[in-house]
Amino acid sequence: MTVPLVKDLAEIASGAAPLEALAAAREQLIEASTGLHRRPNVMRVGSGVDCRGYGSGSTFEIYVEAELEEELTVTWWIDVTWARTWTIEARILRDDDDGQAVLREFRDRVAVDPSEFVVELAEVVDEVVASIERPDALEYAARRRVGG
Amino acid sequence: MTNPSDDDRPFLIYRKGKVNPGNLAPRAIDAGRLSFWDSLSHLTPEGEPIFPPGVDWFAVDVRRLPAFAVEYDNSPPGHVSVVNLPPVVVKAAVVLRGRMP
Repeated sequence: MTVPLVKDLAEIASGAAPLEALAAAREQLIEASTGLHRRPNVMRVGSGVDCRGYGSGSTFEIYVEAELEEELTVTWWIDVTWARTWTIEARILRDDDDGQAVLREFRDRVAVDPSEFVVELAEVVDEVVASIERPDALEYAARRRVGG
Repeated sequence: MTNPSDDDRPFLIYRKGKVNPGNLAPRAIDAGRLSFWDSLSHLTPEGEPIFPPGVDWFAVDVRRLPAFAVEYDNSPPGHVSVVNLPPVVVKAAVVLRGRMP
């Protein structure tokens, strides 16, 4: 079909495609976070986005966090940065005494243009959602000692 | 011990991790005090880096926070506490993020 292709090209040309992709990522993570509410041992679930112009560079941030009964918070985090290329980084973190430590790093993705970025972001989000939906995701985080 | 004057104190303070609300709110055992450090180079009493290679960190500009909420308690040396502030206030004061090489 030619109509969707024309529409996609028009979106990319207008710059809308990356924003659409980020919005879709946010919706996917909201949906995944709702499933965490139903897990045993979960006290609170939150999710959010922010777009900030830090001194270290502009960043679009997406997260899901789950606070467990033992006052441990597990966080799924996605960073999108852009300069000459688009970079997507994703992590799972949990509390330690001085902040957070990394439980898992997903493979970093680099895209050279908006159309590639849309594809790479969708893949990362699928991986992160799959990790949230794993039945043992929170138990694994609670058991795992980090930084010591 | 001589305390540095307010003007001598670093205005950037550092904490490990990302900037989601769960990492910007003290745990119950922390009694309202969110732990920061006045540089990225401090060590634990065991000699291990507080910010080891590969760890994410962020920096808060204390000039964006109410002065009464920032305590350079220096216990252990270099430690800073941000006291009783909502996560959204702390988040707005974040000015840098990075990862240790």
